[in-house]
Amino acid sequence: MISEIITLDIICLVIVTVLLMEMAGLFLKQYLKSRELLSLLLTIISCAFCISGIFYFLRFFVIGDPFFYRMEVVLRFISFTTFVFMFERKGREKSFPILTVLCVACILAIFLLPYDLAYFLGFTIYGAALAVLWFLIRTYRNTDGRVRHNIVRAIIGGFILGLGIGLSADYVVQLGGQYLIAVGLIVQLIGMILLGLSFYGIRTTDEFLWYLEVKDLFVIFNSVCLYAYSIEQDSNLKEADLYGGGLASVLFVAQSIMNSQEPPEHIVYQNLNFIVRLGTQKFSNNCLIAVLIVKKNLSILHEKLEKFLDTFENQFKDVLIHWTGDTEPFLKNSGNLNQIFRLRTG
Amino acid sequence: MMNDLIYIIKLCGEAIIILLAIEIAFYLFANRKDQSKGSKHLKEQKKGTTRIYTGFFLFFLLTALGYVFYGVKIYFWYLYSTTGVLKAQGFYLVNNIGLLLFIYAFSSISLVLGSKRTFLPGLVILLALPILFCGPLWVFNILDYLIIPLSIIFFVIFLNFIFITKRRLRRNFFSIFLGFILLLGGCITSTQILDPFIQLIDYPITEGFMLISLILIGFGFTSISSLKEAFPAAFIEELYLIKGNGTILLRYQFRTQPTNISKENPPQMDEETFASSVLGIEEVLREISSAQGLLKTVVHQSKILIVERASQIMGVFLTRVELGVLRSHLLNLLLEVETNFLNEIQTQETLAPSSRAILIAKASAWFKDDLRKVGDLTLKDKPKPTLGRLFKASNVIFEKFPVRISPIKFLSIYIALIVIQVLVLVFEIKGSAISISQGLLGLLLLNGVFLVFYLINKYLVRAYNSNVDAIFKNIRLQSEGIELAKEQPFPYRALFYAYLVGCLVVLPLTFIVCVILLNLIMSFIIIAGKFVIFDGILTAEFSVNLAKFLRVNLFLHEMSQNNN
Repeated sequence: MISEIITLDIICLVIVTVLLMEMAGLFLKQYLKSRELLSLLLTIISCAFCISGIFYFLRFFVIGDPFFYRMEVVLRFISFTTFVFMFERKGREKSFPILTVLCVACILAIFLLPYDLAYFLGFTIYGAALAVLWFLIRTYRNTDGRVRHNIVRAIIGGFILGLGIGLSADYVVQLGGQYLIAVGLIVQLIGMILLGLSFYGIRTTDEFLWYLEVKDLFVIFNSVCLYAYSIEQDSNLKEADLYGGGLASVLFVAQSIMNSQEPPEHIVYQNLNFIVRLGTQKFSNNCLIAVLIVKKNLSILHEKLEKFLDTFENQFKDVLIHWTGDTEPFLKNSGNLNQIFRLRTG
Repeated sequence: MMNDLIYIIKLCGEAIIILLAIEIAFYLFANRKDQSKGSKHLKEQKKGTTRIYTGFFLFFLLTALGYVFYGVKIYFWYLYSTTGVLKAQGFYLVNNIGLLLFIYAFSSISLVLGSKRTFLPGLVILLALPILFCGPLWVFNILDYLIIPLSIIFFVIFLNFIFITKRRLRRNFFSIFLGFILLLGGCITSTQILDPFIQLIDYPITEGFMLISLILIGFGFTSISSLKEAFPAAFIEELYLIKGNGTILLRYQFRTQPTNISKENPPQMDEETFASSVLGIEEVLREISSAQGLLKTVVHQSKILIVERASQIMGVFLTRVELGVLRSHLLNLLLEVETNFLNEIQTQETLAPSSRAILIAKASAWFKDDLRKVGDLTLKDKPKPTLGRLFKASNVIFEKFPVRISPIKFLSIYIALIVIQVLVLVFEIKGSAISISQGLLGLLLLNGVFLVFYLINKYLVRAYNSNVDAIFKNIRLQSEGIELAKEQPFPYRALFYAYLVGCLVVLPLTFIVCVILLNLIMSFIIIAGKFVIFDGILTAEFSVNLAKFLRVNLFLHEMSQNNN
């Protein structure tokens, strides 16, 4: 008769495997729909973890073959390497992906070297995990709002996952007893769910590279363009009045078509997106309107535009209350506001 | 006898089932609030969507809970069959709690039907709860069979819904439907309905059913982004077909639910201004972005402008939600228009009235099915009354007349009848030699008859495809028909009134007669089931299996007597 603890271990392992399969399916579906690289990489990561779980099961409950151990470690390593590759490829320095190559070398070594050596080399996986953590922290610094929250969740999920893997490791199980397998697996499960959900919420790695998608920024008040800046070229826009006025008329006409008192929230024109935000404060019965022209409609850009508009309103509150039509004060004093749409350095 | 491997497989299967059911439940819970763009003002639809999602959420949550107990049952069964009988009491307790949860789960689908009042079946079971602990086992067994009528109602309504969907959406809903059928199969195998035939607990059959069903359901639900996709046309307000030079070829106004026609909004701008505005926006954006492109979407808080182009014309939908399906509808319509009227579009400034009429008919045909579900499609220009139209108007009344039974009423009547019949059956069985299984199989047939009845009813009066309560609110339609009748000369008017009276009197009478007849047939089936069919064919087998089935109970009874 099977002992209760083994039954529990097996059930936990099955649940973890199924959940990882499910996550892989979910990401694959997302990839097929959006063709986003992030989804494909997450599919690979989930699959690798899932199959690694199967080898773990074989090693613990069927036969302790060294081959199973190799496969288990290699597959986990592949997961981490995929993460490293993802961040290196999407990072600012698109140079030679040195860390990815190092990880691949480790994987090959674990797979090919004699078992004793491979066993010790398996510990380099922690190096890959640290690299992933470092990349996540770096990405955290460059993002904002919801994306940033998701990155925080992903970091926490990664920690929990690591804890789970540690708890269900051979040495720890030998020391603490077989119940640790179940505990470790459940902890892993929580970590994977957290990690998966965080990245599922981000949807695209372009959210990390939002600064490449921004083109121009306009602030309109009373159909007059107060401020127009090309973020792409990092300079004030030429013929800003003309473009700003045109944009104001577009918003006004769109508003009339919709029979509304407010301008539209979003306009899609071919491959460009016009994100529109209405200010929260009223100046002479009118609100500021900010328009951001972007190549890709990313959630982080909506949040940044909102933040920009709030700051703009507060900074020029006094000017706007008694505004006589002079746009000079805005052009002179709003240079610092563009920082919201620039990448943090240092 | 269950061996170690089967035991492990079954327990792992149970764990996965619980996991999947909980996941689906919370996925639905997360989606219960429709967050799609432009949905702010669609309170009615939002309420409906929330209710549907909440119903399904409860269903899956309770199913998951039921399977927790079912898993414990397997555990007890395994121990009982290998170590002793003392845990049999626990086995029955968890089995019955699990079963009760399944019944609750199926009851919760009544929420999907549209009203909290239809939570009646759940209430009935709640009242029956004390039976679980103090009543005899055979009374509780009868509760098993409530799963069948409840699921039949659900399936009929679901099937009805599938028929009004199209293409990808239909495939997804069908996947869900199939999943639910397998889920019912799984539930039935986990109850004691089939136990007299096979010892199902010794095989991972239930788990197989449930796993496949949950995968199908999960796949189906995750592929549907919004329930609004099922009736996209209900969210369209206007359709514009515009030539490249800004000339309007067609402006078609859709009117969906009367409640959704916003009173606070001023009338729309005239069609020529609208067309030139859209083209103007496009031109200015082209200048600003210094790119050759096309305007695609303008998203407003409550309205969305969807723009599509064919080679000669541009189509604009003014809608209240942004659904991908609408864009593809629009593009197909444009291509069809271009194929049929290319010459006319190229050579003439506007379309000829006959072509316009064809286009209007096409547009209305395109969306009629969708709109019929949620409301009423009315053309702006009132047609001239003719005899044909007069009868058409009366037909509208006929279609809208509440002679058809609404799902809520149907459910109430159905459940009441089932409860009465179960009670009658129980009292009959007590004093006779008939087995419970025989009587309950009779009930199963009875449910089949009821299903047929409902389908007949559906096709007879086209029930459910249109809004059930619309007629009571929409007096305008009835008065329109009567107004039309008034304008006709005497013989036609008399004919119309006669027709109307016929609709009002004859059909309800037919309905009542149908119900009485069906009840008679049902009674006959019960009697036939008890005394003719099953007695002759299955008695011996049933008696043996029933004895097997109740053996644990008998053993416990003996044990308690010995203890005393």
